[in-house]
Amino acid sequence: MILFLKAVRAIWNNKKAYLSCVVLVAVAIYMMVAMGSAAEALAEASERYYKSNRLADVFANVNSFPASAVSSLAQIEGINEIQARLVYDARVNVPGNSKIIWLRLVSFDTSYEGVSLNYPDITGRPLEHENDIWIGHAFLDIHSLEVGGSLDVIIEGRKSALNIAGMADSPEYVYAVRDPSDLLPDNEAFGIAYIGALDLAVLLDKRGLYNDLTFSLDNGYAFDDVKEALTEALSPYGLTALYAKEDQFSYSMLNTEITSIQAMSLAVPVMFTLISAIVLFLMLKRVIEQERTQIGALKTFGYKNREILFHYLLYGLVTSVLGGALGVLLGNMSVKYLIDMYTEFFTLPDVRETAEPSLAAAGMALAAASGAIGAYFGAKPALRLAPADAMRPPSPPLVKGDIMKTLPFLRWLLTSRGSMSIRNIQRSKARSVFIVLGIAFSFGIMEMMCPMMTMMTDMIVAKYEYIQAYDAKLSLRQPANAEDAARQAMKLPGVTMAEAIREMPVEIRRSNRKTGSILMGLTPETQLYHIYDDETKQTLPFPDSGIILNTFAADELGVAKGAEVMLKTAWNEDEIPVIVRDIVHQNMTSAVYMDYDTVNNMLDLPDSADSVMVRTTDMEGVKLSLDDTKNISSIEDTYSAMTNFEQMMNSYSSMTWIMVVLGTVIAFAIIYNSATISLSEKKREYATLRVLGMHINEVCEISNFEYWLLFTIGCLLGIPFGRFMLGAMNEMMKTMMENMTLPPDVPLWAVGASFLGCMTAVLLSNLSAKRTIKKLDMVEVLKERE
Amino acid sequence: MDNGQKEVILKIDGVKKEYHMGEVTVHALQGISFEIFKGEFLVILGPSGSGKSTILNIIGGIDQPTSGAVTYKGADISKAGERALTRYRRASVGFVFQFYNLIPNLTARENILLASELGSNPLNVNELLNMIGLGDRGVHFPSQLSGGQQQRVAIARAVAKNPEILLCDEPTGALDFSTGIQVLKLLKTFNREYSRTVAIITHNAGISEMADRTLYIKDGLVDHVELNENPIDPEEVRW
Repeated sequence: MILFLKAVRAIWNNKKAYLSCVVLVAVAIYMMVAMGSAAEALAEASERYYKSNRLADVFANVNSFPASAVSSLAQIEGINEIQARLVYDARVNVPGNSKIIWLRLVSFDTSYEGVSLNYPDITGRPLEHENDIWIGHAFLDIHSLEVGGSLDVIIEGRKSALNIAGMADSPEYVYAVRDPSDLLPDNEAFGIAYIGALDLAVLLDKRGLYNDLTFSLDNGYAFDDVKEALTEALSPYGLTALYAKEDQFSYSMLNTEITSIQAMSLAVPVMFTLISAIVLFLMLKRVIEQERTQIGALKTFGYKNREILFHYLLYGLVTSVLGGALGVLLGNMSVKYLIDMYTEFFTLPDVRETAEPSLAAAGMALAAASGAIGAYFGAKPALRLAPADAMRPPSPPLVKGDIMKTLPFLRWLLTSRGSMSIRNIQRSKARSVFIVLGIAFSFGIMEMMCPMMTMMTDMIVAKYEYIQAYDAKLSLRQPANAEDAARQAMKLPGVTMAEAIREMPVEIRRSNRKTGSILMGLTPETQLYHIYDDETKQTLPFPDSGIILNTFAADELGVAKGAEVMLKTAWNEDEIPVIVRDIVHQNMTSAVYMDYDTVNNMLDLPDSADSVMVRTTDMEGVKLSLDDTKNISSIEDTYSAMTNFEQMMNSYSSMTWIMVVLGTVIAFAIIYNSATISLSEKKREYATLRVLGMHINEVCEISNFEYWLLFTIGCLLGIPFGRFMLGAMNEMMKTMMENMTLPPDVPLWAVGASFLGCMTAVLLSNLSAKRTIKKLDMVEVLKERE
Repeated sequence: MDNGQKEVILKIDGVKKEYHMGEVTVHALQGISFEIFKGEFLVILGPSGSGKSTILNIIGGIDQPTSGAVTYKGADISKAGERALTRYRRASVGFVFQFYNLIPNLTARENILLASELGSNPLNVNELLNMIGLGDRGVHFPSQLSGGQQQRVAIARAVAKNPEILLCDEPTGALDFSTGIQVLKLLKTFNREYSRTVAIITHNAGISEMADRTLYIKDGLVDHVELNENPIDPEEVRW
C-alpha cells in the first residue's frame, strides 16, 4: 500500500510527463472503442439488412428486355432467382427549389410474386391505387413531404402526380447517389421511390419490358461462373452494365467505409499505445537510475524483487489504465454521434448506437498491456541491482565507440558544446532514434493532411474550369443528330454556346487486361471541353485518329503511348483496334477521348450525339424549359456539382485538422518527454557547466542543438514518409472512388507547414528545457549524489 | 604572513545565510566575516554542518547570502544579478568538486577545452594535460580514467580559463592517500607557478599544514584563524 502511494505521488510530481502518455493512450482507446464500435455496428446492421432483405448477387442494366425472355435466363447454370424491373430517373418538380432533383422510380410487383430480392423496408399502406409510391424517408423528410400527400414528377416530358402511400428504404441504396461520380449522397437532389410495376410501365409506355435485372445465385456459384452466359444472353438487349454485388456502388462504398474504419480503429490504437509504451520505457529507465539508492534501501529492508518490480509496473499501469479509462469513457460518449454521422450518409436500419463492451474490454487490456510492457522493460534493471551496489553511486557511463573518431571532420566543425550534443545523441541511441521516428511520423501526417484542402480545390478548379468549361451537360435518351441537338439547345434560355458530343461506356482491352471507361467523342474545335492534363497543366492537342487514355486506364492496361488497344461498345460486335495517341492525367475524370467523327466512323454510326454541352447565363431557365423535353435523360449542372464537392471538402476539413493537431501532439509528446528525461539525466552536467561560468543560453545551446539536429533528420525522413502516406491514401481513394485520385506532388507550402508544425513542437520543448535549466539550483544539484 | 602587505581579493562581511526547510529555518552562516588575499593558499577547515560549503558556494557565486556583503576586487557580488554572477564565475572563479563532475561524454582533453573556450586568456590545454601527467590520456573519456586521474582533469579544467581564484570542495575527499597527495601537489603548483589564489574547504586537518592560512569555521562563524609561516610541501602532508 505504501509503495502504491509512493507510485501515485511520483506520478503526480511528474504529472506533465505522464500526462502526455495518458493523452496518447486515451486517444488510442477512444479510437478503438468509438470507431471500432461504429464499424461493428455498421457491419452488423448491414449484414443483417442485406440478409433479411435479400440483396441480389448480380446486377444488370439493359436498354430493353422483354418479359417473355425472363424465364430463359433461369436456364443459366448457377442462376437461382431473377428479379426484372423498370428503373427510371424522373425529374421532380419542386416549386421554388433551384436544384435539379431526381427521383429514381423502381418498379415493384404489387402481386408480390417474384419480389423476393432487394426487398425494401416498407411502412405505410400497400400500393393499391394508380400511381401510388413508397418513397425513401430521407427524401421525404428533407422535402417536408407527407404520407398521404402527392409529388409531381416529369416522366417522358409529361408531368405526373404520384401519391405517397408510405415510406420504403432499399438495401440497394444504403449509400444513395444517382451517379458514382457524385461521391456524396445528396438527399435533397436524389431519392428513391417504389411504384407499382404496371403503373411505371404505363407511364413509360414500356409494358412487358424491363431495363433492370438482378439475380441471386445458387449456393457454390460466384459471379464469374455466370458472367459469360449472362453477357451472351443480355447483349442482344443492349446490355450496358453487368456487375457483382461486390461492385454494386452502395454495397461497395459501405464495405470500403467499414473496412477503413476497422483498419483505423486498429492501426491508430496500436501505434499510439506503442508510442506511449516507448515513452514509459524511457521514463521508467530514468526513474530506476534516479531511485537507485531507494531500490538498494528497499532491498536491504527485505523487499523482494517481485514486489519492487510490481511497484514500478504501477507507474506504467496507473498511467495507461487512467488513459484507457478516459478513452473508454470518451468512446462511449461519442459512439452515438459517430454513428449518427455515418448514418447521415448510409441509410441503414437498426444500427446499434452503443459501444461494444468487448472493445472497451480489449481497449483496457491493450492500455494496461502497453503500460505494463513499457514499465517492465524500463524497470527490469532494478532486478539486477544488488543492494550493496545500489547504495553506491554508479560508475560514469561507458562511452562505446566515439563518433568523433569515426567522423573526424566533426572536430573541425564543432565546439566542445557541439561535441557534447553529438555525443549525447550517440549516448542515447534508442531515445534519439525514437525522437527521429516521432518527428518523421508527425511530419508525415502533417505533410499528408495539410495539402488535402488545397489539393481538393485545385482538383475541382481543374475539373470544372479547365476541363469542363460548360455550365450544363444534357444527356439525351436517344442519340440525335448533332447539328439538330445543338440547334435545339441554343434555343434554351440564356444559352450562348452549345456543342454536341458522343458519350458512351466502353470496354478497353490489351491482351488479357481489361478496363471500363466512358468514351467521349469531341469535335476538334470544341470550346466547352478540354483534354487538360492536371500534372503538366497543359491542354493536349486533339487526336486526328486513335485514342487518348487517362492514366487510370493506361495503368490498368499497362500500356504507353503508341500501343494498340481493343475497344468494345454497345454498338460493335467485334472489338476494334485503336492506337493510343497520348495519355492524360486527370485527377477527377476518368474519360477516354477520341475525335467525334472518328467514333461515328469507327462504329459505323450516323452523325449523332449522346449529349449536348451548353454555356448559359440562365440555368434556372434551362432547367424549367427542359421539364417538358422528352429526350433529356439527365442534366449535369456544373454549379451544383461544385457545391457538392465543397460540402464534401467541409466534411474532410475537420478530419484534416484533427490529424494535423494529433501529429503536432505526438511530436510534442515525444520530444517533450524525451527532453524531460534527458534533462533529468544531464541536470548535474548542466549545473557543472553553469558553475564553470556558462550562461543559461550557452547551456541551452547544447540541448537545443541536439534536438534541432534530430529534428532535421526527422524532417528529412518525414518528407518521403509523407509522400508514401499520400500514395497510400491515393490507393485508398482509388478503391473507394474509381475516378478520383490525388495529385502525387506535395506542394512546397505543405512541406513548409509540416516543418513549422514540428518546429513548434521542438521550440516549445526547448523553451520548457530552458525554463528548467534557468531554475537549476546549482548548489542543490551538485550536492545531490547521482 | 603579513596580512597588511597582501591585496584583498575577496571580502566577506557579516554574511548570514538562512535556509527554510519546511517550517524549520536553518542558520547556516551567522554573520561571518573574513578576507581572502591574492595569491594565498587558504584552507577553510571545519566539521560537517559548520557552514563551510555554504561559504564556498557564496564566494563562488553559485549561491547568495541572506544578508551581508561579498566583495570581489571591490565589487559587491552578494546582490548581483544572474548574468553578472555568471560573468563572475566565467572570468574569475575555477571550481573543483569532490566528485569531479566531469562531462561523461567529453574526453579528458575536451573537458578541459570546454572550460578554456570560456576564458578570455585561457591556458594552453596541451600544457595543462602534461602538467597533470595525462598528456597521453587526453583522448580518454572519464569512464576510462581512475578517480585520481578524473580529479586531475577536473583541476586542469578549473584552471584552464586562468581564473583569479580556485575554489576546491573537498578535492581529496573521494581519493586514496597517495592520489590525494598528487592532487594537492597540482593545486600547489597552480598556486605557486601561476600566482593564483587557491581556497580549499575540507574537514581534513592534515591539509592545513600546507596552507598559508587556515580559517577554522564553527557554527557558521570564523572560530579562529591560523597563519602558517612555513607551509610544508604537499608530499609531506599526512592524514
